[in-house]
Amino acid sequence: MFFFAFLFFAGFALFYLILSLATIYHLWRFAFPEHPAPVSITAGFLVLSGILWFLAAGLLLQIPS
Amino acid sequence: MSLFTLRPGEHILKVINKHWFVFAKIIIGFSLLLVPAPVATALLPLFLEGGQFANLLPLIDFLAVLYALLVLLLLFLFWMDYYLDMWVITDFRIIDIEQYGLFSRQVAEIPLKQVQDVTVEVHGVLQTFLRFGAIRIQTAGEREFAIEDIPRLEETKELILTHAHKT
Repeated sequence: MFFFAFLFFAGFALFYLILSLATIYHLWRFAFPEHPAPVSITAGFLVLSGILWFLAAGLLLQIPS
Repeated sequence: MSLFTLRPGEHILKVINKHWFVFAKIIIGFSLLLVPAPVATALLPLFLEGGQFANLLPLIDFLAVLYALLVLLLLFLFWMDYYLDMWVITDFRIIDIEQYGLFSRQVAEIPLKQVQDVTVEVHGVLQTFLRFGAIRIQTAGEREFAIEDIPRLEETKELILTHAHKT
């Protein structure tokens, strides 16, 4: 069970990374002085994501093999 | 910036995003989507503990966290869509930028000299109390441009009409 959970975790992590980076790239690419890139929202998203990924990795290690 | 390029001598007067209530509605929807994760992690152990599927409990917690991550990612995508939907009013034109998902957007512009009439529309209790609504712009070419759910309607209307008369 651990192996399949790990595969799912890795695939989802890749999907998450691509979509997150694409979103952040868009927010930065289309920024201009009157409509700045949203630093605090992006930082909040990254911090919250980091916490949840850390938690997910911890729970993954508890899954029996 | 690659959404539009300012012409020589052109200045941005105002950038308008949709009213915060538009995104608040999305947050309420996503909050409801988040409910199944804690419910599953709280209730399923009551049924599975001691049974033959007890070893599934760590997997359920793991999947609940991945589900929460998915909801967070979708919320961030919707927020990007909300943030990149904007109207840019310059002293020559109005640029209407509509973002559709990640890789699709529509950029339209209305020269201020073609603006003939600007109409403000407020419908309903929420729009009245939270002070947002729609602005419709009638142009010389019989076309109508509209932006829904924007704040500071009167101020925006005055800004457009003032600069439309100057050009």
